[in-house]
Amino acid sequence: MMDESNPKPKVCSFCSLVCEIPNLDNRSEDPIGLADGAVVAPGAVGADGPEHEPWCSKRSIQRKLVPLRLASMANVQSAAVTSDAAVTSDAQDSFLESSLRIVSQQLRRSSSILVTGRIHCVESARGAIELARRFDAAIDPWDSDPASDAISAMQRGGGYSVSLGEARDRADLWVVVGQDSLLEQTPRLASAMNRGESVRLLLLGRWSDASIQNFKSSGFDVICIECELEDLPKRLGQCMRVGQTHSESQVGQWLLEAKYTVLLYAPSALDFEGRDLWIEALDRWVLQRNETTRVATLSWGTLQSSFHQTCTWLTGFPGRIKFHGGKPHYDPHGYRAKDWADRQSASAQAKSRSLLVWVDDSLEELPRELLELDLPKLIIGPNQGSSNHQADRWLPAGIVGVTHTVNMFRGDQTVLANVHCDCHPGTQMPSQWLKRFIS
Amino acid sequence: MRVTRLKNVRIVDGIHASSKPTDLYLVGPSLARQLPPETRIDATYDLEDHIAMAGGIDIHTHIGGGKVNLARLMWPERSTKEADEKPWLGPLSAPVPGTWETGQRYLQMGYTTCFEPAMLPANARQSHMEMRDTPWLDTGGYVVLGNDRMLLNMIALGAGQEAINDYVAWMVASSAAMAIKVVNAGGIDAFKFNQRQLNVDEVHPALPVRPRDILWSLSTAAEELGLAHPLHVHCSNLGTPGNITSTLATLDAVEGRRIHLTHAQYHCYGSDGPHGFSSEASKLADRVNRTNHISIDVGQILFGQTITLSADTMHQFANRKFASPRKVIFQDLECQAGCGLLPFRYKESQFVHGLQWSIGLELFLRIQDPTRVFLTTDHPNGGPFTGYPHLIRLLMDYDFRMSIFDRLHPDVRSVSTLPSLKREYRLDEIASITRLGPARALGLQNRGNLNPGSIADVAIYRNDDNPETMFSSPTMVFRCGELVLRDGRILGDCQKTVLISDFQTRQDALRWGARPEHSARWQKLYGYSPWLTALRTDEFAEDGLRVEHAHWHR
Repeated sequence: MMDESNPKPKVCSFCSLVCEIPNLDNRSEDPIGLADGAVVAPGAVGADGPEHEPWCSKRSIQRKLVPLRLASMANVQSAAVTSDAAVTSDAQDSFLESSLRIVSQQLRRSSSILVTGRIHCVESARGAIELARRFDAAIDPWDSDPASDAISAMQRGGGYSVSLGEARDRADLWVVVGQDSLLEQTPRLASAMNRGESVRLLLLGRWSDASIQNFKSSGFDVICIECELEDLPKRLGQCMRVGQTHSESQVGQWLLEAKYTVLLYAPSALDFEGRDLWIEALDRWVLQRNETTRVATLSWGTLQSSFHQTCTWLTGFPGRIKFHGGKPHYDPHGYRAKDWADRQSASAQAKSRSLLVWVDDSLEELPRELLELDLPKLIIGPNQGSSNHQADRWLPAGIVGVTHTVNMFRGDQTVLANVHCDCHPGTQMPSQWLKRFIS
Repeated sequence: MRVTRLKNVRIVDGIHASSKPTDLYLVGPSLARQLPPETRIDATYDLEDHIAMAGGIDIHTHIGGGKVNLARLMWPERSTKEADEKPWLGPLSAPVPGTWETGQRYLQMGYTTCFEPAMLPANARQSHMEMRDTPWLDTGGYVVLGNDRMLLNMIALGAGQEAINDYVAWMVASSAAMAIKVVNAGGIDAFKFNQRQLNVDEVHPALPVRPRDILWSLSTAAEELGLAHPLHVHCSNLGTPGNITSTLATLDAVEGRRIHLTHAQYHCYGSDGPHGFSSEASKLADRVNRTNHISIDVGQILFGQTITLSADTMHQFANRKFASPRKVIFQDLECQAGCGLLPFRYKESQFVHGLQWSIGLELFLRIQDPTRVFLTTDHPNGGPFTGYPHLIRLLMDYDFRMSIFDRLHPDVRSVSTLPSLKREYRLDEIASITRLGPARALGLQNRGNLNPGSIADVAIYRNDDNPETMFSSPTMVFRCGELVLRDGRILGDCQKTVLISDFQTRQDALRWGARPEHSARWQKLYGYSPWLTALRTDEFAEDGLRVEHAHWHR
């Protein structure tokens, strides 16, 4: 996994960078740092023996299939171009050139463009933002509501947060709020949270036995309380007051005894109305508690954190912007991607002048709601989907951390890592496609 | 190679004293004073009544990294008005703008090189990526050490200076840093253990380590490794009345080794007077004047709205009640440091703010050697960098300075000694505090001056009685010999350079992370390999950047 000439570890780009991956082609290779729990044992990889946890085999199988899938898709596409356009030279080159020409025309013709998608690395984000700037487009990731709610809560009141590494080392009490989907998205999170000793963990929300077991087997001393989450910030305050008068309450006792409490939640795993207000109230409670003790939140972001961070440094805003004359205009309600798409597809006149550019760094299938949109789409990514819209065009692209080395933020949005992999020849990254349209 | 002649221009770089107009040549990326007669000149500009200065160098400006991006994020309510005829004269669109605006506005003042002073090791990659996306500026950064638990443990366990040097070398190399920055040595980590103050000789709540030990170890490492820039220190007790004691103790702690004290204005306060807050600028200035191993940047405050951001969570948290508007962000980060952000408005009518303003100016005016006191506002903490032309006028024009002083809180006017400081900076001294001095402190021999062979980063200013007007809008700016700005308008892009410190063991420094015992210790603390975040210099080249190494010239 590590050699003198290239010591960079290979990191799974689908789990918010909490785990390094072993060499998929060398099952006998010794893992590094197994005792710390943040590195995956080779035996856990592959369908033939998930000795530790199933997540890794799930991700690993996906990873192994992607290059094959890309190659076959690219072949199909270039063959089609070759026969349609009667191009006799190299099919791959002609495919690139004809795509470039057609898409460039499409971009120039459209008077209303949305750049959206599942943008997971800095490189794709840079390209997407530059494209939007060049064509005075709106830009917002497709499923940006969780991040947008967390950002708007922070913009109103601020908060006190902690990074994963700090929490791992310093926390003597974790309060994990949410439901199973948190661990489905980032299965190795429980291991990454634990520093290798017994630490108290309070699970609040709706958790299955498997999730509870996941935390326990990662070394936590777990109390799970099934509860509705909506009024949690209020109840945390009550719990503390109860704890002060009823020392028999273990939860209250834990909260009072803790020297450094970490409240972990993922906005994407909080599926109720008023999520932004919930986060704001929790942040307020945490800030107040810090008057006398140490408490911090850890808001676990989606894979789109890299987009929000990059967009912020390039434009000053996290997304939901539209460029006018090259300048960004921020409207967190007006430029929400799904609303833009709904608005444009509802109007026959707008529809004809619109273009939705979908930039995809994800392995997942394309969302049904996207494919059903009656709008011309340019899809740059590994998945073609099954759209029937005549004007749709697909530009096959590779996968971050699988076919190309990229830079990605970890889920806590503090660590930016170089996700290294051996380059897969013959595939374009979304950022490479985007650069061609801009230059 | 393109040759440009700047004809009849007066050279002001803090070195060349002549006031006579002369010719300066830009030969490709370098400067020349004379050329062989047969040389073909591609362009000539007659610059009578103009001065030429080297491109400005900001030694301490927060332009990239996690907390900078948070500051952008927390301030969405910015101006979106369309550009007017001279947009570069107006305020920034936000206290911390995006990278493009940052690069543009620096260039429009004639600045060409900037340094991010607080790169968290875990986050250095982000800092560099943001700086890479800041056009027209060459950039570098200082890696934050002194609150990293790995170092504190090494000092506590008596690992020895050699082991510490190896670790520091790894941190500097893997962060692609220019220097080491220490912020409130040990204090940020102590705050994570709920301690609210840590003086220079106080012991950390969880480890047998004092800030004095940390400062000694890091200044020794900087010296023994031979880093281009000395230890860059944000002292203990930022902004606290009476903090001059710990500031002087910090200077003592390095035992005569080179040290750079940053945003010194915030660190020379007494606790006398009607408000329990007074100036001790003269004590710090005296110390700088009596020695030759200390340099400072001022961190001047400018009146108006800004956002303060710092790795010093301990003191930022203590100041949270002063946030205006009322929102604050804090983070404890990766066993390495933290950050605290609060919006802040400096008001002329407020006693403390008025005195801070006069303390900063006192430092500029009391320190005699202009190559050891540098012009900064600690952007955005004291105010935006776009206030530099205004600050230059404050330094060059006593009457202008007093016209603002007369508007301050009456108690400031009664206690401040500023009116007695009649010194007015000359142009060559302005060149020293904005170019020559920072370049020397950073080990950049080929920048900050207009010597033959130096980099052809040149700003041309039209002489004007009002220095604020003059320094707000250079008539031309050249980057590496190419004209990139004329009359405020940007003409083109330019090659960017990342600046990194060279040092004796640089070639071997990265091997530290490959040694199993270090790798295992790192993995245990952070949960990931030391190589996950490490930067290699060849990555910059892949990103189209040039890499330049700075050297300590002993």
